Amino acid sequence: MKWVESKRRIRRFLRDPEGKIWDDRLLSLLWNDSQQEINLRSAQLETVAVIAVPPRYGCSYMHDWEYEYAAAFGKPYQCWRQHHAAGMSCSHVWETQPAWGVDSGAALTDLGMVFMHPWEAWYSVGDVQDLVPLPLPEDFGQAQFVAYDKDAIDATTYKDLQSRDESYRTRTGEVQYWFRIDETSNEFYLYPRNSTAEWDDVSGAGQILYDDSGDTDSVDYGVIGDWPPDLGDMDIGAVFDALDADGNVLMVYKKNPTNISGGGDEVLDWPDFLTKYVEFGVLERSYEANTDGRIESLRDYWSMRRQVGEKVLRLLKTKKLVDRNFVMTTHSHVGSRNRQHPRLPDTYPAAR
Amino acid sequence: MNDLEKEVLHLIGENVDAPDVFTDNDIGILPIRDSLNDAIEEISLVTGGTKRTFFLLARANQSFYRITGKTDRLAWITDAWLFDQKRRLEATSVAKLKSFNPRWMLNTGPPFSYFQIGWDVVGIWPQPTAGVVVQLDCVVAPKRYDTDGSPIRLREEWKRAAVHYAVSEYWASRGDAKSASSHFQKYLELVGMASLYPYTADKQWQMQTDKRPWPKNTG
Repeated sequence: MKWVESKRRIRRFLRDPEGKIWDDRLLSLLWNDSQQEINLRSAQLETVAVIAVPPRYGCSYMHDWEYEYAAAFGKPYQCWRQHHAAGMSCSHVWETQPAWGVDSGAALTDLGMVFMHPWEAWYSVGDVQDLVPLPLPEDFGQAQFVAYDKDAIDATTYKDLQSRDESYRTRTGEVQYWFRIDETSNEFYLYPRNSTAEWDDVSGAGQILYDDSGDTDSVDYGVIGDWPPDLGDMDIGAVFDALDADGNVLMVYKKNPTNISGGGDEVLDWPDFLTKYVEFGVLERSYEANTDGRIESLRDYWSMRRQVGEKVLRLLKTKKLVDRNFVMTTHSHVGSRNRQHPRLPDTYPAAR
Repeated sequence: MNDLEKEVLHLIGENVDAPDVFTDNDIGILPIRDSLNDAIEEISLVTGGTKRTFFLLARANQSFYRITGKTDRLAWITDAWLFDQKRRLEATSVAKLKSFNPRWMLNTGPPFSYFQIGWDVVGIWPQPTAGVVVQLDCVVAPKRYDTDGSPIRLREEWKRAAVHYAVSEYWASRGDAKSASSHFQKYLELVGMASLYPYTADKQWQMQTDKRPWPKNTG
């Protein structure tokens, strides 16, 4: 459902079709607030995304002031290293010498290969000295399952990694973990970094955002949607698209609903049949807001509707579990596996 | 104007033969129709009463599929049937699969299990080596009706409930919170929010010994 449709329904109950009391901007703010609350209480939104490795971005920028101009070109990436003490960006650390008054003749030791954009790390002929970031989906909330090249990987912390491996920055090999450095950068890293990458079929050179061999479901974080050739154009039944996880990171996560900016064509994150519960929250907040249209009895009515809606949402989650079917088998059925890790020989020394 | 819409107009005091506000055309009746559709969706989901069958054309080496319901909207899967081997698939989850085998995404073979992520993503395990057809029986939110002749498949008492839902929203849109609350309470009583889902109510509870859990395909 689009925002313009939901707004029409909300304005019917507000009896304010012209937006004279509650303007569009206020309604979109209230919508963002309401959907965050509903999602927090009922945890309804989950999804799966494929993040391309090497990662794909819309454009790159160096300094913070460029961000507001870069965002118009798609998901931006801040390239190079940032020397925040001097407010400069640099590729090699010896470039920061003038900021500290160091004689340019006393050059620092070259510290190996550096990259400007993440995909260059897999073209490097030497050790890359920086961690290679991958973008989290914009609506990322909490990871439930992460896999690289269809192999499940576990979450770890930056601190734990630093404690266990002195050379964690340059370690390459089979990916076993993923981690985040902080909560605000919306990036994550693989450890060890995969030494080779699969380059999807693309045309052109450099960082390509679109895969021209098929349809691209989303450009923000490299979700590749592959439409079945016959069903993709049909407007009946159910249309399926497959997610290609080969050589990429597949992530199952709880998602945060995307804030709307008020544009009429914005597609809401919620399934059609659940948007009404968010609308109830908007109506409650609208009648609560200190405007000429404040009516406490209607606020209480829509508050009741919202609370019933939240209970319905939780009930639906229970129904999903109740309706599952299990298949009974015998003990001798091949396929049951209780141990997750390989069994060590009995003579293996015990951990101290 | 269908029977439900006429009943709503009766209850709100409109002249059904010559309505002043909710005229008998798509635009005039739209607010009432919106409310009735919302009620039908909620009743269908809460009771699990509306089911449809989707055919998933599973492709070789693919586990995840995003479903876009063009008519009825997928809510959740109740059963999955593998056509070529004439057997059901077991319900599982991503967490359970990872616990069972961290490399589950690399397994290939005839599918044994299915799982759902969110409202629109379905997965099967293991990923098939060639295309197979999986029949998914699902509870759905029915397509919103938009013409007078569109079928509305609800039990009679739930149709009454839908009418009270729409009347409640009419009074709310007129600013009468008291009447709106009163009709909404009637809706809740008629749907029976306390004892939902008729299949659960039909269960016969009986005592049994404490048996070991049976092994499943995924541990």
